[in-house]
Amino acid sequence: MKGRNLIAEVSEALKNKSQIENLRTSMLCMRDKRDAAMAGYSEKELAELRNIRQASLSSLNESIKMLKDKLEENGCGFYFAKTAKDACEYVVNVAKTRGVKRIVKAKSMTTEEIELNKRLVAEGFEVIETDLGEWLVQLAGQKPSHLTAPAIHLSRYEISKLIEDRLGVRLPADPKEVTKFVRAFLREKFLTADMGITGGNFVVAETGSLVLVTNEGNGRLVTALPRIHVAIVGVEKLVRTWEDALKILNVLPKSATGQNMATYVTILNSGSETPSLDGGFVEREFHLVLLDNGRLSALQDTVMSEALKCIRCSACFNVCPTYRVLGGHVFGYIYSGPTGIPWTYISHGLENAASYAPLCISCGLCRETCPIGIDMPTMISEIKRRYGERNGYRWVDRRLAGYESLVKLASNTAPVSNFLLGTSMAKWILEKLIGIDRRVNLPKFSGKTLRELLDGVLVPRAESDRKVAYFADSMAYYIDVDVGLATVNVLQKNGFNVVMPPQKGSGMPSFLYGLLDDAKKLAEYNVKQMYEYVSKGYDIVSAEPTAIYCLRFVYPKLLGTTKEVQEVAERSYELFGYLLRMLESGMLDLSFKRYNGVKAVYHLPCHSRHLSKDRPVLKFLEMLGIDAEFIDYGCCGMGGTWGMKKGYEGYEISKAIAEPLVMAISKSGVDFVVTECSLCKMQIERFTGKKVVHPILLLDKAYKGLPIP
Amino acid sequence: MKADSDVLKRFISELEKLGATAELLETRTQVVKHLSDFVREKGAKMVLAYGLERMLSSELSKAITSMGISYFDINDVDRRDLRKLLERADIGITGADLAVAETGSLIITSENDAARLLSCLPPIHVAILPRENILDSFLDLAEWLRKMQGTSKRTVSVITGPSRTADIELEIVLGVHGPCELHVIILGGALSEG
Repeated sequence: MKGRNLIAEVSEALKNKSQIENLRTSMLCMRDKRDAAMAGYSEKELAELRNIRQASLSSLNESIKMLKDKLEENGCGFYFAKTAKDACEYVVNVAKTRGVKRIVKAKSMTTEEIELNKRLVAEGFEVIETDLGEWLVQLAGQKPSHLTAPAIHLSRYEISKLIEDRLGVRLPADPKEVTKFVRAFLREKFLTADMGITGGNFVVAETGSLVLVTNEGNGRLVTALPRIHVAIVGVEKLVRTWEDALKILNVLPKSATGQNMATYVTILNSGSETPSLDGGFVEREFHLVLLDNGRLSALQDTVMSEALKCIRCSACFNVCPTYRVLGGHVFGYIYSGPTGIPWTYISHGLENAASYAPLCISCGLCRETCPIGIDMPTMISEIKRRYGERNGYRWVDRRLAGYESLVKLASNTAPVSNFLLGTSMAKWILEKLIGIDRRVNLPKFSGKTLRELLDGVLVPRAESDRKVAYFADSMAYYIDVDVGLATVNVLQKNGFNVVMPPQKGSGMPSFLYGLLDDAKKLAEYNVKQMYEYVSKGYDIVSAEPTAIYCLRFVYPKLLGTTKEVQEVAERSYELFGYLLRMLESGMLDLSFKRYNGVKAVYHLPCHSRHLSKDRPVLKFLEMLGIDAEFIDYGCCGMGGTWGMKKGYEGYEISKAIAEPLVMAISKSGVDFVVTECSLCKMQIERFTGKKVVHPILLLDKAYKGLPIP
Repeated sequence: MKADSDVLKRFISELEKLGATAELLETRTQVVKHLSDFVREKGAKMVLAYGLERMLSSELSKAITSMGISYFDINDVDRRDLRKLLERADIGITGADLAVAETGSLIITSENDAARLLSCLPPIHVAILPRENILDSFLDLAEWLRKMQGTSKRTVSVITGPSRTADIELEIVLGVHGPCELHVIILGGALSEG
């Protein structure tokens, strides 16, 4: 969108407290229902789904041909639309030549994508959306704000007011009453429509069958009552066989709404005859428009082709921290939510995708929750890069990505730098000069780097074959040096030879802001250094989950899967996952103090979720006797350095995201909070005022028999 | 294949979770009795049926019309009246080809859209399913669907519970555009059978 003012949109959205509250509650509810429904899926089954999507895309050309033949054999209209305009043209032509007046539609994001309604209305047709949410959105003159729950941004009160304003009908603010009214209101439209338009959830090439998934039943009426049915389906929805189709169909409702199966699945591959208004039967025509609109060229794009695997379940919306507070009108163009960013790129171009891509904070929860495992963060960072290369990167993004030189300077000049950075003058300067919000409490720098402090500590032990190369990352290296010291101490206590190879920061901020060339340089350096030790039998361990997330997932994407990159990725472990493995194999020294009766809250960092499903920190807290309450609102909103950006670019959104977590922690009355991410720590300390500790500090103290805070 | 009792139990339990009901009946006489009581209790004025066994349909017709309630089998009505009847029917009774236990789904094929609309337009849908046609898993349908897509009964509806929405504040409401109620009669054997 040219001239889009994202900051103004964000500041407006953040004023709407009740919408934020409703959306957050809804998204958490959908997330939990979805997780419960998906619990039965094994890693292997999920990998199979990914393979099916990959194979479907690889065989698209054959599938298109097969579909065309089948549909023509069955006497259906088949049209391959290269562009949105072509698709609209075809539909308009069908409608015009057959004397259509009234058109009923079942929910379809593909028709939103091509802005079909606008075109049909301009041609004089009456177009009525029939999915309840979509109908409400149409009535309000808005766009859907969520893939599967288009009117999720509207409250029951707003809905009852909307219906009164637009239709003059007063209804109580009760979903049951509204639904009853809409049933009767739309029934008459269904019965008198000449044409039905649907999308399609997938198309099975081998039999030429359209598969349409709905819950309300409108999809069935739209495809059975009017004398013409046109389905508009993106070309990526083609699957080869029924075996493939059923596996995807089986997961779709589980991941979308937490339903075991959607209420209605309609399968058809030809027209039929429908009872006509004038008595008797009339032939019902079936047309299938297969839409390209950027998809086939995206298929050739090594990064963006990943988006074509999307089955549009919307699970990524439910976990996205910024979507959750801003909603799909701000966090979207026509497509919204995390998957919407690459989809906007594919169908509406770079400018429009980049118009809201800065709202992605690269927590990676979308990728983690996606049943297909689609790597949205990498695509979004690539969009930021392509936009940045063409139009320049933002000043603040460049500075934050290059944080390491600033941190080094501050570290070298501590404690003077600590004093200076604590002054309001310095905060004002940082806000004006760099774009760091003046309300951010900057961390205290250690006068000595971790490497200096470890001088004389990292002595080799000839007798041990347990070998760890410690990757500290910047926070433990310059600021939270106690975490680094404790990590080394605990590993040594367990008989490890610990080394600290030369290293730079993980490069996550560069990745986050799309400065991928910088990120790549850091990745190359770190992989080279780490591989030195991996090749000598060392495991790489870090107490910073983001560092391991980079080594395992981000670097292979940036550098390609060479032998070195692959081996470093496979041998990289987050500290507590690593300790848990030792515990399980009976190799962990258990002679540590227990802290029975101590209460704490545990916050799980986003990048830890990717690294282990076992929640190893919780297991260790339990072993330490600590009564830890796990509060799970997902992302804390910090996004590394993102939450430091001034005002509505970062800080304000970050604060809104953190709100429920902060409230829950404040209410819990615990003495301290435990989390293994240094940036989550900053965020939680900033907004709760409570002490936040890395779990390794607790374990280290326990080994030493010391009291904990 | 005769569905074993575990599969049957699973199917019934899934149906009930969805807000549908299930009734296990042995004989045609039981079905006729059950359905006549049912349509009376629901206060229906008109019942429309499709895809039922000939004898069952004619006995149902007798029993229901004797209570002063209209009953039509789609196959027997004048085609000119079909649309009006579909719009007015209070209860649609259909056969079901198959069911899937793990999802509580019914699979219904139709030769034309009138048959499809019968499980769609009336506020109450009753489906009659032979017990031996319950499959265990959704994924078992692939071969059958492939075959079906080449026949005259190529339009397949998979129905899993009554029509529902959660579009307003995620509150689940049944009966949006499709039936508000779904009742399944499973023919041929009770749970106690092995």
